[in-house]
Parts: sequence; structure tokens; C-alpha cells
Amino acid sequence: MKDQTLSASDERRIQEYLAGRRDAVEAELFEERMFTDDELAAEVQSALEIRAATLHAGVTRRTGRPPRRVLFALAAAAGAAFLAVGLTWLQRPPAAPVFRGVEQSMGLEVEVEGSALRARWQPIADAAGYELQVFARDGRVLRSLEADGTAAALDLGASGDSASEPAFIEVSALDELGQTLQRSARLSLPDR
Amino acid sequence: MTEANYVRQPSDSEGDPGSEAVDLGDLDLWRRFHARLLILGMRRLGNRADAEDMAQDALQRVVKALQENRLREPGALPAFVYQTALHVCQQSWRKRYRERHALEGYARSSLEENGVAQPLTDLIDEERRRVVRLALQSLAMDDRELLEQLYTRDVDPEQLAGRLGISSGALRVRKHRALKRLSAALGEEVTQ
Repeated sequence: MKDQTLSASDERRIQEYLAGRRDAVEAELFEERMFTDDELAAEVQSALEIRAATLHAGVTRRTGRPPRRVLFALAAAAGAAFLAVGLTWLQRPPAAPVFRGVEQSMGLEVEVEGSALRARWQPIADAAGYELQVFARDGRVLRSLEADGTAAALDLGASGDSASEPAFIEVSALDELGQTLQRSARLSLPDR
Repeated sequence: MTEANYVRQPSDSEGDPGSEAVDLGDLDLWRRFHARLLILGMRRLGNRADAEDMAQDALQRVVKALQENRLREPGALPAFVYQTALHVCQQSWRKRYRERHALEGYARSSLEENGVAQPLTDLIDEERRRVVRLALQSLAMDDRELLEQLYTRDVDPEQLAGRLGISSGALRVRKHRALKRLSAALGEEVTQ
């Protein structure tokens, strides 16, 4: 690897290329450059390996355009869900909005009522502690909370600008050195 | 090794075409271009097996062209490898089209239509993921977090720099050093 660094725009291009977020023409140009730029190619390969090694099913990620059949299926599912929600609302009296999300890989359950967030998660063997992180929509960590037990509560605060609105939450089980043993999926938080 | 080492000048061709120098050149050619050929093949052909076949075929064609002195300009080698790979991909598509047409009576071989494209991360096998994961765990927490934020969570580099209170340039240097440490850790792992 050369002792040089790529530009900030190159770094974003690598992210977008690996996530499948570049259109066909952009991806082709990127690949053409990758063949003539050894430094770029080396970083793409490293990034791909890191991504493959650390990626887990629960990470929320923007991807390229889904196939048309999937779009039809999603549209049908959305229509059915809309109808089901409409029927439920007709039958139930109004209630305070409560959000629940459950992920089975490393169990994380979250409830949000107003600005109060309560989280519970599955205990992990050999974990010395847990780290609960709240992210903005762009992936920035907004809040980080360390806990010894398997539950935590925090106040998400008043809604500010939309860019700093809490959008996702995840919990990590840490060993004594602070290394991640296991991580939950990143759950979406409801809009407030 | 530079492009000039791969491209034999006319006087070189008077020697033994099966010399060791050619074999060493082939090996280096493979080391230099194989990974990026796989990435290109994976994105265009949608699965690892076809990407492997394409990379092998393209490299064989490039070696043959070099042995036959069909490439005289050393600087053109990366572009030549890229164009050869595109050509092999197109041939693969045409073959697929014919097979599908013959089997099903209609030609709908687009990956987008069929929705079968695998993500680029599928290029990295489970053993390599395990090795990279171990190497990542051997890094300092700061390095590991930085690489995961950039390559797994796709956090915008400029926003990450802002969050860490450093400039974009400083972030790139930090990332570059983290990647070098990861390479070193992987080197140790590979030799075990």
C-alpha cells in the first residue's frame, strides 16, 4: 500500500460502490478507474473484506434499486398492511403510541413513549457490559450509554432538527477489554 | 512490478517464450488484477462462480496477448485488462442469453428482472471473513471503530471527521494508518 491517501470524494465513492448505490454508468467509470489506480483498488478490496467480515443481517443499509418483482411485492404488502392498520384503527379505541421492535439474533426490545425510551436485551455469556447506541438517520451516534445489566432507559429529548432526530438504536455486548462480542440488529425508531 | 515488466519488447520475443520470467510475470499479473477482476465480475455477472470464471478467462487472454506481443505500450496494460474483462463479461452474457432462450423460449436474462444478483460481499468466503474479523479484533478500539464506521455502517467521512473533532484530511490519514495496521495483522494471521 502506498503512503498516500485518497480524496474524501473517493472514500464516498467506495462506500457507494460497495453498497450498490451508484448507478450503472457511475459504477462502470469507478471500475475503469479501479483498474488503473492500484491504491484505489487496494482500498476497495480492504473495504470489501471489512464489510464482509463485520456485516450482519440487521444493519440497516440503503441499497440499490430493488428488482421490479420485489417492488410489486412490496407494493402489495404495503397495500395489505395499510388495509390491516385501517381496520385495526376502526376497531380499537385511540391509545398512546407505543413502538416495539424485536430482533432475534441478539434480542433487543425497545419501547418508545413520547421521548422516553426503554430498552431490554438478551444477556450474552461472558459479556462484561453492554453499550446502547442511538443513531441519527445518517449514521451519526447521538447517544451512547453503557450498562452492566440487560435493560436501560433514556430520554431522547425534545425533537430538534430532523437531521439530529434519533432514528436507529442498537446494543452491543462487550467483553472485559471493551471488544464487541455480539451486536443486535439496528432497529428503526418511530418518528416522533 | 511496473507495466513495462509485463510487456515484452520486440527483442525479448526472440528468446524462449516459455521462460521463467514469463511465468513470474503471470503470477504477478494475477496478484495485481485478480481481486479487482472478481469485483467487476461479481457486479456484472451476479454470482461468484461466474466472476471466478471470468477473471480466469480474462487473465489467460491477457497473458496470451502479452506473449504474442500484441500489447506494445506498457502504460496501456490496466486499460487492456479492463477491456478484456468487459469483453469476457459480454460473452458470458450472450452465452447465458442463448441458453435461457433455448430453455425457456424467451430471453429475459437481466439480473434486474430476475433479482438474483448477489452482493459483492459474497466474494469473501467464510474463512477469510473469520481471519479478517480476528485481525480487526486485534486492532485498537479506535482503529476498529473507525474502519467499521466507514465500511460497514457507511458513515459519511466528513461527518465522521466532524464527530471526532478532526479535519477530513486527518481522518483519511488515521484511516490509512488503521488499514496498514490491519494489513500487518492479516499478514501475521496468514503466516500462522
